[in-house]
Formats: sequence, structure tokens, C-alpha cells
Amino acid sequence: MPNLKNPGTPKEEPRIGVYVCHCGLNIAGSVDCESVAEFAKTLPGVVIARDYRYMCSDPGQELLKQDIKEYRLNRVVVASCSPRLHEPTFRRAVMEAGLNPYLFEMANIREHCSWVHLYDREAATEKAKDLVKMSVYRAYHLEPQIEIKVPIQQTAMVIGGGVAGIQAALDLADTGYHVYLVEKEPSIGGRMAQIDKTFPTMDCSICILAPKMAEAGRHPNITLLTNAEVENISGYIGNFNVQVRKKPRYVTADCTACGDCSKACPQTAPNEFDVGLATRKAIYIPFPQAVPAQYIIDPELCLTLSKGAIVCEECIKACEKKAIDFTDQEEILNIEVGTIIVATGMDVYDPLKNHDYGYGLFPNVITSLEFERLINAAGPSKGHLIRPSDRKIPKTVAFIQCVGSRSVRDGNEYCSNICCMNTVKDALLIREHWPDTQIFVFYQDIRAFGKGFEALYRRSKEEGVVYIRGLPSRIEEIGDHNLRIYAEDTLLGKEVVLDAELVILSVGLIPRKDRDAIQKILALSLTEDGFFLEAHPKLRPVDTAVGGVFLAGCAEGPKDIKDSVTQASAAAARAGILMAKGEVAVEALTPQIVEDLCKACGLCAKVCPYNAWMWSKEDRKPPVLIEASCQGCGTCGAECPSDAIVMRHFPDEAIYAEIDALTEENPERKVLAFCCNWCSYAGADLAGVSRIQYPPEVRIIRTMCSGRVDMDFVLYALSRGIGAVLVSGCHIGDCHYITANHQTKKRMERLWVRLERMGIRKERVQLGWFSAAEGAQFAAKIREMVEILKTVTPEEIEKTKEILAKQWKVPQAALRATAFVRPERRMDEVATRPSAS
Amino acid sequence: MAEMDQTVFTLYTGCLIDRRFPGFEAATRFVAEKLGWELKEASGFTCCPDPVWVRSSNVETWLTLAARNLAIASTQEAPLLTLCNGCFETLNSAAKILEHSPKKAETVNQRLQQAGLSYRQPVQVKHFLQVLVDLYRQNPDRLTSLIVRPLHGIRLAPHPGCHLTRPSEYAQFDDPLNPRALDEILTAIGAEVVDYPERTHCCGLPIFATDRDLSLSMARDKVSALQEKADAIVVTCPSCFLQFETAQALDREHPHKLPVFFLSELLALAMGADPKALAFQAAHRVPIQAILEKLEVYTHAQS
Amino acid sequence: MLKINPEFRKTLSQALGEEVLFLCYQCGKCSAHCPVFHRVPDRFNPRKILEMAYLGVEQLLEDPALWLCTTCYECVENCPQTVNFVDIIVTLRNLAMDRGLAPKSVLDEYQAVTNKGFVYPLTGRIRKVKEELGLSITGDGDSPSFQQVLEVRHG
Repeated sequence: MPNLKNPGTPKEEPRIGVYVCHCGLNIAGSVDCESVAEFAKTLPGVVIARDYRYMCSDPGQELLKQDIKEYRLNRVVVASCSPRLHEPTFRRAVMEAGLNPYLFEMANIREHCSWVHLYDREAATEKAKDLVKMSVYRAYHLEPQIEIKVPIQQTAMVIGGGVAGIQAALDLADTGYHVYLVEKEPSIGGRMAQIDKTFPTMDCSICILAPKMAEAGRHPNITLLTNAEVENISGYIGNFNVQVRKKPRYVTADCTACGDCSKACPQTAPNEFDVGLATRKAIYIPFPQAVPAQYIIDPELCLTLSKGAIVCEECIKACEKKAIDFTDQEEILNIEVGTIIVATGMDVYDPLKNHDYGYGLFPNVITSLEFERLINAAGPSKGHLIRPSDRKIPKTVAFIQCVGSRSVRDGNEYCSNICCMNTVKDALLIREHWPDTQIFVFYQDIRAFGKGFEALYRRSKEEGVVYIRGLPSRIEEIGDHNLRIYAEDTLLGKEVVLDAELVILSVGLIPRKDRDAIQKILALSLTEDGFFLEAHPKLRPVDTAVGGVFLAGCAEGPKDIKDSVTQASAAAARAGILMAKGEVAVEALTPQIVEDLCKACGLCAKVCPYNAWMWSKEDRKPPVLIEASCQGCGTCGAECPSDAIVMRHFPDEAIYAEIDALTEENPERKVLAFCCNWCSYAGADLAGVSRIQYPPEVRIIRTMCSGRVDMDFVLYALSRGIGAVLVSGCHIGDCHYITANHQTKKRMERLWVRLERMGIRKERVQLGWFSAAEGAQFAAKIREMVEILKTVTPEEIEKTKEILAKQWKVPQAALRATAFVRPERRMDEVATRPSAS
Repeated sequence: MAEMDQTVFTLYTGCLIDRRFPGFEAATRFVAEKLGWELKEASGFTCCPDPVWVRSSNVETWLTLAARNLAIASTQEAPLLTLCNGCFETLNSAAKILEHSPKKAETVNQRLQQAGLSYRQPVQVKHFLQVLVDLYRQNPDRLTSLIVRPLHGIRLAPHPGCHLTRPSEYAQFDDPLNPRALDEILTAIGAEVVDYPERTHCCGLPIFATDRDLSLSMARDKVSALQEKADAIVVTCPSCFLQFETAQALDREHPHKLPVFFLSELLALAMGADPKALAFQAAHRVPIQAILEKLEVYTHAQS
Repeated sequence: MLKINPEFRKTLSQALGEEVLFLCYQCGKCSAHCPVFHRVPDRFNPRKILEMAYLGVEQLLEDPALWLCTTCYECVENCPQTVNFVDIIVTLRNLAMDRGLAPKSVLDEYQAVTNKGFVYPLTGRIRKVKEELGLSITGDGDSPSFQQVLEVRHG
């Protein structure tokens, strides 16, 4: 616990070891690692500094362990890659050498330095030295921490009952965990149930899916909640409380799915399952293989339910089992689960809004999903492909690829992954049904990359399917609702024209339109494309940044059935690993309160997104923290007007020490950026991984949340002569700590007002929101910051210093921060930090 | 093994050798006699027909006329020996097409019947070089022991020609992209073989009919690539021979010419043939005097 | 503008017999290996001819490029998809011939072969050389029956 009775001389003399990693040439290619290590040796408290080829290698870790013993190191700084990658590795290594893992610190000289300044070795080396110095100064203030363990409930929830959700639920249930499978629609099955055949094997989709659906329906470890939606989720890893709204079905479990009710029902509406190409009754079953095999009443269509009075009882009369219950009520269920798998799937691009290629205007232009229902034996045309205008068999069919995909203009820049093979498969299906049909596919690239894909593609060519490289410019309707397609054959460089009787738009996959609800509820991050972001694209592809929450299927990105199933099994395994352990260690990042300083104002309790501070206005007593509720964002620490809150592992002193370090030399030529661990820091990492170059003037300080950034941090940096400051975090609504970044925003607005009032140019302090996927945007912002920096004159810096010296008081913690390296700061001037309770 | 010992063939001369280059036939007969082969005669052959333009005009005509030639050959009970890449391609491909497609064979036979012919007994079609290289690989002495006038010191550039090895689907002879059989034989008779990157390029003859300048430029490019490197170019096909000769004869800009030889001619010379018996003057427009001098062969025809 | 004609495509694919000829994926290896393309890339590009044949563009039959292939088979031997360009160009030429679109020189040769049995006539000079060499002589009329096989009898 922080207990610095005599700051400046800590309870133990710091003995810091610094290790500068070359990472092969990843760092050494643009940073002179040897000179960085030499520089580190001159820093206060540093006992040993080395540079080494690969610190994360076994010999690298061994070196570190030996030094800890040999040099009696009590702090370790590794300057290498992002702590988001290897902090756990090195924490384990120092622990094995007997050091508390919280006494380890990392300087990110790869993602934030060598990779983003590839061509400026001198500047990159100088920056790396600064980053190392920041880490050394910070390390001085690190203290041993003990992590608490939280129990993990051994039940799981799978949100979404498509093939991914079904597979994940089955895998977990078979492992022995109880699973709640929540599905919005009346039946599980998802998109796969709508598809006729699957590629590349040409298996019948429902034939292979139905047994899995049935198994999920009757598995003793699975509670199926269909026609139900997740309303809210609270809690944290291992201990989630999920509120599920179960909508009334109006048909009881006694239903035998005989269908007599439906025959009797007088009301009809377009059938969603057949994408509106056929109709259903008000009492209906979505499709014959539905699970549960239970009818449902559409309350808006049903004469009785919509009018609220019994005006029609045809179904009740028809039902022998007396399974119809007009009094069925909506239920809110509260379910405790340890892990959550998000398998909410995707939507298909809707070409109606732009009337792409005349869709919605010309009856014979249809989408690939509509095609699936038209070619399906259970579909509206009983599996005979006919065209909508006259129900005739089309002799010439054209497919148009990439409708709603790979287009910056239409907003979906990405490749939808499945459409090429889906078209290849569909073309073969048409040939199978009507061998004389001439089929033309307009494409820009055929991506047949998967196992068995090229063979299927080749087979379609052998069957005579013609592939034309070039997307059509336009389609005209000619006589008899036939379609004239104009395109450039880009291989010939000539315009071609084709008359077709049916055009199928190969529509892309898009994030679910209702995705935002789940995203907000779980504080998940999104990629730029709008799909859920994985914790690491290579090494943690099914984890999310939120502990205990995993991804499966198209919710994470467009993918085919095989990949969805594979990912579902992976997600189930990941969730199973957590639950099998039964408990999980939570990082020791929670705050402590210094009761002597606390004025019991209650502001901490007010700003906490988790209601983790117990405080009552009446008592006027210092608040009490509920450890299990606190997630460690540090917003309370930033807001506390008395500086009575000490954030574990991120104490004020440590942050001031970092600011001190980076402002010691040429602060006027530097930009300080505060980045939050989950979004903007990860975004900066992505800029590095993507080798997006930006100017080297920026120095990043990591906090868990932008909510941690105290106004005084910014003012202190300005008082030390910094040129510009950027405070950054997750986009509003995407905050990892629910709403903590709302506090950041409010605080920054207050700060700008204050700066203006003091006569300091507020443009020098900027606020930015960057998701973990926005490396390019982060880099662009840094470029913008450096432009601002250029407008700041030395006079302005001096003026700022003077203003702050007069109008602002340096916090005690800032004075304590580097007292140990500053003989000029007399110890007796610095107040002792009182001990935390 | 039986195939290796094959010494009886039906000779097929085609139309170009028959009607333009009788010396090539004479040279081949001389070599065959030295090797102890028996060349049977069959009467009634027509043009193979041309695998390029007759086939391009009408595939059925091409296949039918080829089948007719094969039908005539099938009465001889010996492999059909062709001396021309084009004849080899047509007759060999046709034989294989008819072998693999009973339907096509049936149609063709119906038409052959109109002339009282039938093609039921498959005929093996061989190119002269194919037989020669098989023999040489089996027993090099059989060939080298016959060499009385080795071609020492003569730099020869082989031009195997396209249809000797391509399409490999039917030719099934040598490497279609890097044929070496001709090199082997030229080395065996003592010549120095010149390798050059353009060796498998087409001579251009087929499109002489449709674009004369383009066609001749293809042959000229090969000739100019060899001008410094080789003393002569050697072909296994009378069409290629014709093309290289024509290209040079019509080329007034380049007075220095590269002699062109048909393989059989060189073999016959190496085996001691009297040049008079090879009728050089009827075929060669590019002077070959220098080569004959090197070989110390005296000929009135060239004087 | 090139008109894609599904019917012409059908004719072509039926004439070619095997759909395997339509496996081209336009990698361009054929053109890269083609000696004619190498000289006159603007006039002859086997890749483009394949593409037009593949689409079913009937105008291709009038394209002078059709007559520039030497049938050297470099393309066929190098095609990663085993597309037989020569078979395709031969089929296209057959169709053009049927419609009277073949160049005169090609027609002349065809007629020489179908009327006389040989492309080249036997000149007196060569007859004399052959006599001197003791080689047998076949006259134009000495191949009986060959024209009979070309007669198409109906019924």
C-alpha cells in the first residue's frame, strides 16, 4: 500500500534494471538500441541497463531473471513492444524471479516508435530514450500489488441462435456447462436455415442444420429462449447478470405443430423467412424444421390480439391440443452467467435504398438471398427457379457480384467473403435445375481461396458458366421485363452488352442493424467496418476486450458456415477454459482512499459508472469501495477535488513522474498524448503494426481510461512547457467503462473554459476519440497536433508558464513525483503523502 | 523392345517433299538403306492434309482425308514413317483422335466406305527423327558406325519445329518446351550443336498465307539470331525448310545467308552419300557451298 | 460495343465438344508465350480472342486476328488451365469459313487439297529431278477415290 512516509527516499532504494529489446530489426532497424541502453544507465535508480536481440525469448527472460537476483533489482523496465502484447510475459518472468509483477514496467518503443518512424533513425532513437526515461521515472512509483480472485459462474449465455450460436451452445453443453441460448426470432436456425445448398460440397443446408437445431432444442444442458432479446447486462467477467425479455408466443409447449390453426387463420402477411416472396398466416411456424416446433402468433396481424378483443377464434377452434393462449404475457428473466458468447450474426445488404441495378424497379432483378428461397424445394416456387415477372424459366441468367461490398461509395469497403463462392454454387444449382440455362457472372475478382473452392469454381466453368470481368454500369429493362446489361469487359477493354431474363444481385453481408444494442450493453468495440472487434486479430481472434465475452460467427465479420462453426467451437472452448478454472484474477487497479484528505463530498460516487463507491449524503463519511464492482477506470481519481483517491498501479505520482520525464528536455517541441488502454492506445498500436508513419514529436502516456486524466495532469504538463496535449479515449458510447468517457468530455470542456479564462490558447489541448481499429485516424490526429505545435512560439510557452505559476497551484503529488531526482526540490517543502486506508 | 528393333516402315512423303524437295526423299532412302530399314510403298496417298489451313477450313475434311491416308497405310502392317512435322502432326493426331473417339471413327469410316476403304486397324505414326533417336539411344553404334564423313567443326543450330513435339497431348515425343532429340543426333554425327534461346520459336510458315511480312519476319529473326553463332540451321520439316529459304531468298538487305539443311541430307552426307544423288540444286536457294567444302565434298551442282 | 450472344456461345461450345476449353482465367500466359503477339500485340492477342470466344461475341468471326495464329502450340503447352487455344481458333476459323469469311489464300489451299489431293502442284522440273533420282512419281490424278470420301451423302 502506498506508504511513503518520507518521499524522495522511498521505503527501499530503487534498483532498476532496464532492458532495451532489438526485436530483431523491428526496433533496431530504426532505433539505436545500444545507445538507448547506454542512456538508460545514466538515469536515476538504474543499476543495470542492457540491449538484447529478443527480450521475449527464453534466453531474454532468463537474462532478466538472473539480473534480478544478481543485481538485487526491485524494479524492471523492458523497452520493447506494446504492453498489450507482452506485459503478461514479462510480468510472469519477474514473478518467477521473486518480484511482484506490478513492479514491472514497459516502454513501447516498437508500435509507438520504431514502426511509426521507420525513416528517421535519429528522431526515433531520441524518442525511445524519452520513452525509456518516462518508464524509469514511473517505475520508481510502482508498488507491489496483490490481485484479487473473483469466482466464475459455471453457466454461459449464447446470444444468437444461428449456426454459430447453436454450435457454441452445443459444445459448451456437451462439456457439461449449462447454456442459455437466446434467439430473437421464433426459431433458431438463423441464415443457414434460409439457404438452399452450401458450398463447396453442395450439401443441402437445412438437412445438415436441422439435426443440430433439434439437438440444441432437446439438450438437457441448454435452455432455449426463442422470441427473446437481451435487454441489459451488468456485472463483469465470471459474474454477469443478464436481463432477457421473453416475448409472448401465445402458443404453449403443448403445440404439436400440426398446422390446423394456420389453415383456419384468415389473416396473411409476407413471410419473413421467404424474404417476403411468400405469405404466412397470423399464426404460423417460420419453416417446417423450426425449433422449437411450436407455432407462434403475430400479435400485430392477429385480429384478436391487435384489437384487444376476441373478434376471431378460428385458431382456438381448430386446435385440438388447446395450445393457444391469448393471455400469454411478456416475461423479464434475470439470468446469472459466467461467460457470454456473442453470435448475433449479420444482415444482408439491401439494394432497395439505392435501387442498385434497378432492384425494386424491375421485377426480374432479385437478390441472392431471394434466389436461395426460389431455388429451395420448401420455398415459394417449390424449388423451381422461375422469374418473378411471369413465372417463366429464365433462359439467360446474369449474376452481378460485389453488390454492397468492396465499395467505398456504398459504405461497405470490405469483401463480404462468401458471395463469390455463393454465386459459383448458385450457378451450378441453376444448371442442375435447368441445364440449358446460359449463366453469366459479372465480377471484379473471383476469390476462391478456401478448401475445395477452386475445384468448385473450375467445375462451374466446366459446366459452362461464363465469368465476365467487369461490373455492369447499368441495366435497362427491355421488352417482356427482360434486362439489358451494359458492362466493360476489362480484359478486352471493350464495352459488352448482354440481354438476360433474370439478374441476381450477389449482395454482401453487413453488420446487423440492431447490433448497437448489444454493443452498448457489453461495451464491445467495433472495427471500422462495424463488426465486433476481437481482442487480437491473430492471437485472440474470438476473445473480446471485455473479459468473459467471446465472439462467434458473422458478428465478428463476414464468414461462411464452416468458419462460423469453427469459430463457434473456438469461442466455446475459450469460455469453457474460464469456467473450468472457476475463478479469475482481476488486475489490481482499484483505488484506495486517503481518509485524512477526503472531504466526503461524494463526487467519486457520483461519477463512478459502476456505483462502486458506497457513500451517503447523510453520513458525511468517506466512501467505501465495493472491490468486486470497481473496474479500475480511475475516473473517481481524476475527479476527486482533494486528491484523496490513490489509483493502484496508476497513482498520480507515477503519471506526474512520466510528465516530468518527457518535459525535462525541449518540452516546447513535444506533444503529450494521453491514451486509454482499450481504444486509443490500441489504435496507436495499430498505427504501428500497420507502419503508418507520423511525426516523432508525440509521447504517449497510457491510462486505463481517458476518465483517469486529471485536469491537473494537463495543467502540469503546460506548466512544464509542453507544446501541446492530446487527451484521447474510446468513442462516446464505446467506452470500456460504460460511460466513463462522458466524464472525460465534460472535464475537458471545463478545462477549455478555464484555459481561455487564464489566457492560454485552448487549441493546444485537444480531445480525440479513436477506436482500436482507427490507427490511421490516430496518426492523422498526431499530424494535426504537430501542426498546432508549430504555431506555438517560445514566448507563448513562457507566458503559459508564468500564468500557471500565478494562477495554478502545483499539486503535492507532482512535487513528490520526481523529488527523488531533483535535489533542488527540497524534501521538507514536499508534504508527505498520507497513508491510504 | 520389339519396337526398338522395328526396321520395316511404310514411307509417307506428303506433298511438299514429293512435289518440291525430292532430294530429301532420296537422302532419307539412302540413310534408311544404310540402317537396313525396309521402306514399303503404298499407293494412293494424298496430302496429309495440312494441319493448319485444311484443318482450319474444315476439321471434318481434315480428319477424313487423314483417315483415308491412314486407311491406305493400314493395309501395310507397318508403322507409317513421316518425314515432315506437319504430316506427323496430322496423321499422328488423327490416328489418336480416331482411337479415342469411337464416335468420330464411326463417322469417318462411313465416309471412307464411300470409296471402299475402312480404317479399323490402328496405324502407328512415326516421325523419322523419332525412329532415329530411339534407335540411337538403344544402340548408338548402329548409327555412329555408319558415319564415314563426320561433321567435325561444323556449327549446327537445330530447329526442331513446332509440330514435331507439340501438341504434346498427341505427339508424345521429346520435351514439348525443350526438345533435345535433334541435338542428340547432330552430336552423334560429329557436329557442334549450337544452343540458342530462340530454338523452339516458330518459323512462321503457317501465316505466310495470311500475312507474308509478319510470317517472314519470324524466320528472319531466328536467322539473324544465329548469323554469328552457327554455320547452318538444321530442320526436320520441309515446311520450316521452305520458310527459312524463302525468308532469306527474299531478303535483299542481308547478303550474308545462313545455309539451311534438312536432317536427312546431313545424315546422308555423313554416311558417305554422293551429293549428286541428293539433288541439292533443286531445294537449296541459299548457297551451301561453304559447308560442302568444309566436308570436303565435291559437287558439280554447286559449281 | 460487343454483343454477347448466348446462342452463338452455345454453337461454339457444341462445336468444341468439351466445355473444358472454357476454363481460361485470363492469366495472360498464352499471350506472353505467343511469338505473334510478341511482334504485333495490337493485332493479335490470344487472351483477348479467348475472352471474346468465351463470352460468345459473334463479331469475332470477322476479326482479321483470327488468321494470324501459326498454331505453334506454345500457348497450349504453357496454359495452367489446359485450355487448348489452337482447338478454339481452329473451330472459330471453321465457322468463319462456313460463312465465307476466310481469306482467299486459305480458300485456295483448301480447294487445291480437296480438288487435287495436294497443296503443291508437281512441276515438270521436279518430275525430271525425281526421274533422275529414281523416285516414284505420283500425279495429281493418281490418288483415286479421295474425293469420294468427301462427298456428304444424305439419308
